Amino acid sequence: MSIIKQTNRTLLFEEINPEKPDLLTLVGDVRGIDSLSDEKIKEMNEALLVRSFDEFISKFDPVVYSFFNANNQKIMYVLQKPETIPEEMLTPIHLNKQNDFLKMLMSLVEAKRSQSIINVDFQFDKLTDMISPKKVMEDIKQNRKELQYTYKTYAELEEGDPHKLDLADKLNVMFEEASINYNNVLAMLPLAIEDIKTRLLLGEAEEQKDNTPLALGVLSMDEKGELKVLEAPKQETAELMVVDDNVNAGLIAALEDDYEALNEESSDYVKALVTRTYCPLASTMVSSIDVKQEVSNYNSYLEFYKTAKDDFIKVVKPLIEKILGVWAFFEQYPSNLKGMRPSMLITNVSNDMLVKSSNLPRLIAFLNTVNAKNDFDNTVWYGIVPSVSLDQNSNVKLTRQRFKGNETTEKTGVNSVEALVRMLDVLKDYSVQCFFSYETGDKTTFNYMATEGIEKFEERCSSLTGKAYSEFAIPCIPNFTIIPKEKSGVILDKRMLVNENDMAELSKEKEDIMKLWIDGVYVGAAYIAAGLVAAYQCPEYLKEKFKRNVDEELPGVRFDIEAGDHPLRVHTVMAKEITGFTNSIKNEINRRSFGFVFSSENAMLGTENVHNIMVYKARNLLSDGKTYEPIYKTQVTTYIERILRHATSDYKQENIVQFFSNNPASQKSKWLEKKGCVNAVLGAGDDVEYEIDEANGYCTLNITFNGNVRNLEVEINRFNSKNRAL
Amino acid sequence: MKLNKRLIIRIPKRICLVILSLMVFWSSCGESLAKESMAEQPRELVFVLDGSQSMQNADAQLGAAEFIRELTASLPTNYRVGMVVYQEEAVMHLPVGSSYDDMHAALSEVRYMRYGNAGIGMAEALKLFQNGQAQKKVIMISDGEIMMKTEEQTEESSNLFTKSVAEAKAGGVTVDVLALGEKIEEGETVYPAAAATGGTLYELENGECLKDFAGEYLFHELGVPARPIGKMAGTTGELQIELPDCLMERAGIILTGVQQNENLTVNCEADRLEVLKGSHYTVIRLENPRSQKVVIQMQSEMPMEVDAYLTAEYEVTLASSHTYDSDTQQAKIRIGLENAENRNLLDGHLSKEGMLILVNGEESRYEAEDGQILLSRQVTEDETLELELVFQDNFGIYFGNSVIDEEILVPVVEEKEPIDWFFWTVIACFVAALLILIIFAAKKRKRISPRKKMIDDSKMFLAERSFGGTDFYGKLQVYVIHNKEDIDFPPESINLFARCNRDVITLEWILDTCNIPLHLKGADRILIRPDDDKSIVIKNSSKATVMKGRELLIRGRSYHLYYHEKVTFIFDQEDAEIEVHYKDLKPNER
Repeated sequence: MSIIKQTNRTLLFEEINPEKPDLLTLVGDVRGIDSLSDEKIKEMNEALLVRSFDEFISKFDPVVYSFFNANNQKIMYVLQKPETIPEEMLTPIHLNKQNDFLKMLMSLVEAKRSQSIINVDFQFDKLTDMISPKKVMEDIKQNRKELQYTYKTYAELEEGDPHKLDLADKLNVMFEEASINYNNVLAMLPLAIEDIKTRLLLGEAEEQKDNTPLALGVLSMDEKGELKVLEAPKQETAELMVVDDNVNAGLIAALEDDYEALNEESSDYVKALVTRTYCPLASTMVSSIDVKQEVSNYNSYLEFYKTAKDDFIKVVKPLIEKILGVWAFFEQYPSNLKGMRPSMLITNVSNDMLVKSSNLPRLIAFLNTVNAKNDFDNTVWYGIVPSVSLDQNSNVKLTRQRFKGNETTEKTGVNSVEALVRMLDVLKDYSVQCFFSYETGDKTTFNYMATEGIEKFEERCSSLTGKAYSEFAIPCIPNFTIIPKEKSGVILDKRMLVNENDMAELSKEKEDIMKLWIDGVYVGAAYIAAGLVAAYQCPEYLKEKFKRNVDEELPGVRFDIEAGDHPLRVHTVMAKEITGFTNSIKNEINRRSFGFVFSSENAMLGTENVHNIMVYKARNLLSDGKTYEPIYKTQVTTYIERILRHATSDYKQENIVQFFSNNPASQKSKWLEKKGCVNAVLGAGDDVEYEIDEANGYCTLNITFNGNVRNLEVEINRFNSKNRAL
Repeated sequence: MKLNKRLIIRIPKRICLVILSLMVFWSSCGESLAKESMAEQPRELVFVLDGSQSMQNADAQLGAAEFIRELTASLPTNYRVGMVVYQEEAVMHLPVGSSYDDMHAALSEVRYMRYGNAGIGMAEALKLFQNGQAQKKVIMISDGEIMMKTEEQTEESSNLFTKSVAEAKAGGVTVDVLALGEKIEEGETVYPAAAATGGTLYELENGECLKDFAGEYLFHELGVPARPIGKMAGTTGELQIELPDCLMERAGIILTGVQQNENLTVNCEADRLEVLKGSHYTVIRLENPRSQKVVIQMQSEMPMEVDAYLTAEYEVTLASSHTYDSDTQQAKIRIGLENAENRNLLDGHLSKEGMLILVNGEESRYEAEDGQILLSRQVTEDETLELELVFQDNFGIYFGNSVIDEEILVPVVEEKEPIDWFFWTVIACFVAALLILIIFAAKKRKRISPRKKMIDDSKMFLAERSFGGTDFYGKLQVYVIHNKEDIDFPPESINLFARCNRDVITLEWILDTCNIPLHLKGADRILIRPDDDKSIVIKNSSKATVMKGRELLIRGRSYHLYYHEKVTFIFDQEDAEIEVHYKDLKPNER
């Protein structure tokens, strides 16, 4: 640990926010240079390196832009900032923890994790309704009450009272927050919907419905002592509530002024809507209700809200999946640990752009700087390439559409296998292990794999095997499901209609239920695989999981997650999704030990049930013809090579001899001493030997893993002291 | 002492003799690099014939079929043809490379009926092209109209047609449209395909006109070289033709125009003779003609109107050598031209007819001597000359290399110096002392490291080879950073270790091996050879700018490139920029 302080920096090949700096831009022109300056690396770390999900959100600020299209009366959403649209016409929607959609998805994962319920039994609709107007309204109601209360206190105080100024400051902040909503009519819609609903359905009791129109009255006793509710005389009521109305009139005026000041082209209707939304409920100012107009408004708001939300989800889903991926990556490492916390460097550029022949030298120059030096603080150990295209040929089969089927729209942001190959070819030269997963959808889930097996994935990887870079390619399957496609419906509300008594009521017809479909949200397996592997590199993480036999100095490079009870102790934080794979599917996986495979199985560690998804196989694509190699072998080899290079001052022959000598102070002896540890670099049955080929100037290391030998060849630096003396 | 003195006198004499002989006559055995540029490119043609009912009005006599047959019969061997006939669907596909007989048989089946889905026709035609490198052309014969049963289908077909035309344009395919009948002003038509792809739109009155149009199209649009050799008019005629020589691989005599498809006699000698006849054409194909004289007799009951043309195809192999005169600094370069049977082409018409020689792109004077072309050129320093032959006759098609490189090495004349015996004695002593030290050190090292493991025999073999000589190691990663067309060529890797020989390679070879079709002037003059310490040496003799790091490589000087270093080649006004990284190979990459 004194030489290599981290073995888990991960490079994520994804574009998050095109407006933020990216790897290519920061590296800049590399004509005539092989590596970058320390200042440049520092600058890149400041812009692209994140150590937690919160840092990721604040650095990259994922955002969706919305603008209105007058021609089709719709809201358009785009991920790329449209350059031709003036700034004031664009509304950025920041995808942070406050965003209702992202919040809902994260709550889903957490709820599933705490309840340990598999997908088929989980009540997704309980949480998906978090994006319905009702829930949004609940959140905002609190703020509105506060606004009303503060304004009331403010209005009651005399002019010149110093407390009035304090309250004015507070009101300014509250108006600012509120203005975010009434600047954006869309954000105001859920409030308006709920508001209308509350006002129109005021007389509607929960249990039974009375068809008589509402008339407010007072409870009294007549001359004979009979109890009666008499309709309250209107003049009296107005007088009684006049104080209240003064306060509200002031608030309405303030809101109207603010709205007019902020919106150059204000409309009376929207102005009324703003005031009605933020005007306190108890007010009697807007006492006359045009039921038909309100019902029609309600229905059109609901319709508009549904379409807008629908379009928003369609556009934002790929980005949300990336954000959830990063979140899931960091989630694997417990937040309370303070050890070798995984860090992630994000390229923030599309992979098609990155792998262009003209841009690859920039990536090479970057990796040459961080990975080909004897300073390992910035070394990149892992890469994540999510969303690799699953279809060999993207040609859509021409069949006549007899029924409305799935729209086979071209998925954006999917990485081609060719792009992956180009990246792997570079990454292998710098020993970066690359976790990749296939595009998300219902064809790459646990459910699908449980029925269809892994043949398709293995076949898809066949072009990547038998290559020099195969050792560094790790196919991760299956992808994780946050909301399954078939359970992704969200009921927003029901349409309203005016009944024969001129009263508003919610329709009971099935077709009047406003429902939108999120159409499934998934997280690429590569994020979680890389997150878990990065987490178990930390000795403190292993200590927490194993309690004993963990060396505090050594990283988990040799930790074999497939061995013994390791998968039961070191598992993902994701909850189980299915009941498990059938034995025949498991036999298929075991036959060639393909891929980094997650399993959702019933398992027990001692007396404790494991409710999380575990790792079943952790292999790369290097094959001896029969089975694929475990990933730890590659990492140990890389680790030994780096340590050896550092300790022997770039492979000086005399230092190599010292490195492997039987002297207790030699590095090999130190490693062998800790053989019994869970995170030993050389575990039980492991050994490392060397042969020096003096004629060619090579040193071949034979690293034995449990009887299997792995070769590593390094070129000896012959310019040693003896040569110099000659 | 006497003996010594005589020796001192003798040695300089020997040196003098050697130097003199070198000065007087420096004969080069330097290899000539023949380039792989073909004088004639492969070409692919696909006919797209509208087989719809509406064609019946424009081409009742099936003139289109006759036109296609004539073209198929007359085209030289570097053309490969295919055909698509479409109605509502593509009803006939003949792949590119179909023979005349296949085309003839297929065309006999063509009947005009049903609707015309030009979109499918064009899309299917594009699928037939095979060779990525070949020049591609589609000849579309139609009355112009795209018409299907319903409006939706018509629109669909028209959209597919527009899409296919755009694809054709992107793939470098030109589309010539031969429009028959009256021009259609309204509705969906196929006319725009010509303009969109850089092709030509020909408007012809009807199918009959196509028969007379074949010759014009062949010689003018396609530019097939042919020499007019006679004309026949009337009911009988005899044509006596003198072939320019008998060195060609194939000769073709094309008789085009109104004729009767009977009564034809051909007198000639050749390895193979083939006569292809139609109502408007006769093509006589001769393979390896053995006599120059060809006599053709034709008889007809109706008056004929026949024009005769000659085409010939030659295979050319170039060989060059040179001698160098140090006194005059003149290099005499000889170029030999042979055909596939190793017969000298200068014995034929080329000795008389026009032929230009370009040296490094400039025309140069030459003489024919002893059946070879002889050039003289002043050369003062090592130089590689690019010799190019340009044939100027109007009937010959030449296959093979028309360009050859000749490397001329100017011998270095060393000035004789008196031998400094004292200096050499000191050097010898020093070397001896050094040897003793090395042996001593080696013995000591052996004693220090008693434990030495067995080394694999195969590795030993490699080690010996590498230690003794300078083989290639490592690999080259090639990145095309920028090129004129802005094409993103995938990065390529060349494993030099696998070459296992010490030949010098050029940047041109590298690009060729990587299948990067950039023809960069001077890329063949950027030489790379292996050197000690697993390095490679780069020498740039071209006009390209070569950078290693921030350093500019001076032309004509050699520079070492070690593992993990890179060089950048920048060609003419930044036409292309290529980065080559030199890397070591991991054991599993070998």
